[in-house]
Amino acid sequence: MSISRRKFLGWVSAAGSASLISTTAHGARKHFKGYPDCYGILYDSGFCIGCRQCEEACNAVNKLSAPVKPFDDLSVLNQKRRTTAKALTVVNRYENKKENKSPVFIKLQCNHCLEPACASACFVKAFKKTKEGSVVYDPSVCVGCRYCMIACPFEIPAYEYDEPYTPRVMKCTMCHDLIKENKLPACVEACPMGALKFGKRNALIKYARERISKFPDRYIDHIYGEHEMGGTSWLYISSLPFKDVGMREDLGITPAPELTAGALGAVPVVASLWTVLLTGIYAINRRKEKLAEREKKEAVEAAGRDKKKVSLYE
Amino acid sequence: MKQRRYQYIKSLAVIACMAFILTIGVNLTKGGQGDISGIETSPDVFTFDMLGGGDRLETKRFDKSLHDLHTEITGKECGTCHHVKGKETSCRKCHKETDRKKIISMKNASHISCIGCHREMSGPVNCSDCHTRSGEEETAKSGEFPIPNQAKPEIMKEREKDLDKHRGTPVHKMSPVHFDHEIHREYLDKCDIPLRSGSGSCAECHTADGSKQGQMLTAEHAMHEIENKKSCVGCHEDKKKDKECAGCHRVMRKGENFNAICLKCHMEPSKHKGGKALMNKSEDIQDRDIADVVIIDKLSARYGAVELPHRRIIDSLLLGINKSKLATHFHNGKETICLGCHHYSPPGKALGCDACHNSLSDGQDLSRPGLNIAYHQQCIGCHDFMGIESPGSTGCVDCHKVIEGKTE
Repeated sequence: MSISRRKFLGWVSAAGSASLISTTAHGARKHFKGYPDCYGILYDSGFCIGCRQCEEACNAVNKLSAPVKPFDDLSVLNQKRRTTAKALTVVNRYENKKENKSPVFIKLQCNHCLEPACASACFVKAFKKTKEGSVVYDPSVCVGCRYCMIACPFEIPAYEYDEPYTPRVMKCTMCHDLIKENKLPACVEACPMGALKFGKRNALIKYARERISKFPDRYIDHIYGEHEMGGTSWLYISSLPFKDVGMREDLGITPAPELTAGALGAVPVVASLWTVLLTGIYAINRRKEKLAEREKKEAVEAAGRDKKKVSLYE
Repeated sequence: MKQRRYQYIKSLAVIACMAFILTIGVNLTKGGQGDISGIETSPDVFTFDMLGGGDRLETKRFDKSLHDLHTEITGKECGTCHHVKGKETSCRKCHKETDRKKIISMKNASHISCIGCHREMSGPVNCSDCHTRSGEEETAKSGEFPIPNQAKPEIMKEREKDLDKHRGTPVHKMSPVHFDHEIHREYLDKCDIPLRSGSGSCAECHTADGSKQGQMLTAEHAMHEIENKKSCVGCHEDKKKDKECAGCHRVMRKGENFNAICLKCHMEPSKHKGGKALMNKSEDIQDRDIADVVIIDKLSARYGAVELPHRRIIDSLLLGINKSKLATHFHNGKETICLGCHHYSPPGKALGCDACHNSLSDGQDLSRPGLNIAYHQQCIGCHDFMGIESPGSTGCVDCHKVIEGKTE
């Protein structure tokens, strides 16, 4: 069988239009605004004094190993830190140079996105956004690919590299077990200044707006996490612009899964439809060839018969 | 060419038509919204001066600012005073000069209601707090208000002339403000007032109805614009950011209690005391038990009790107030100082923090933190705003006693 140029182009265009139909269907999906009544935590940096009691409480509730420097040693604040497998939350200090006022603290931990990038990148479904609002991790199914660490726009998940047999991806769980028991997350319970507020995400946004409108000269008019990456369950308000306190402002408002949904949505189409399509084209071609062969055979036979007739008359 | 011009004109005509329809539409919708005036209306001035004993005593004007103050204190519960529900009106509508069958006289009604409530809430109860002797006020009025800068007497005249023109209009139902130039002279630079040469007073350009020279900014707005440091209110608001003031004032919303202090500026000249010291020491707050030291040990699971130097704090706050003429003038009474920490307490009754803040931070009420957080926010917040470096915000043992046997 030989494929002509025209035939090949025909197939390609047919396949292309088929996959296009599927991608447009995905592009028009509705924007997910999080589970209704999901919980969140508001971090009000205006109250934070950088005492690290949240870090201590987090360490205790997650049964992590004790750090090299004790929690009341505030010299660790001199360096900018990231979350690690042994510190699921860290507080960083930023000097308020402009107005020569007291420094601003920012607490980092998993932001518990409404549509988590880690969950969409994970191909074994180890991450799950619960209806309570937290993003939880199931180590029993994790294969250790660490795609979640690459996918996270906030660079939060960490890996237990020093655990030879059962390494886990480590990140804040918003104390999901405690929330289900109607208790406060450990860091919120520990904060002596009320810089961390736990509640329904909608109520927190309302409260944050009230704070900003009540003290316009003490907060910038921005609730970080309300829209970032499609919205997160952890929200922040601060007196300094967030880009000055080490938070990314260039993330946009599109949730990470939405960016990949189009391409990933095409996979089943390619895997299933293409085979059907190609098999169909092959079958049609085979039938054509068969028909052509039969015709040829008949023609030869007919020609043979005619020849016989001619010879008979001779 | 002709065709193109025709098309051009046609499209212009279409746009014009659409614009016309749009403006009509917008106007219609605007008109449809109707007038949404304030639901709570209260007259500007109430007077209780129709009393029977008018020949002997005159009664203080119960004006809008006093009404607002009472509205605020009662938590907008109109029924506290206006006891006929749904028919809130002037007391005088029912209470006449003499007692009738079921309705007592105005004198008795106001004495029973006002004084009764004031006794409970520690409001003013002395006769002279509400009444003046007949004739007394007249002599006081005739006494001239001292203008410190005698070189500019025309300022006051100008103001009076302006007043005469607009007397009776809503703007001037308030008493005129007697602005003391001498006190404010040193702040004029800070307030960034563009003093044009030759201009006599603010009111010369900022007239009651606004004038072209004053960029149509009316006197009322020019003086009361809270966001503008050039206005009276804006500059006073800005002064609250000073370290001595910030401890109490930074936790208040901008312009909080603004309606309750109208009379602090709009006052009769005779009442102007000109920044006398509020009191010298905390001992001057009479009839109150002021603790020297308050022991806070309600939540001492991890750290020991805290000894709060209660009297020392009051004295140092008073020192800050008495330094400033602005502060002594505007702090309403002696108890005002208590409200800095004992916020939302009824006048004269300083409630402890645990009266409202629960021992558990249950997170039910976002704007009312638990007791532990309330203590920390109050102490550390105030120290931070007032620039008090010791005790530091993270020096736990600076305030807390160390419990023996505990590692921290």
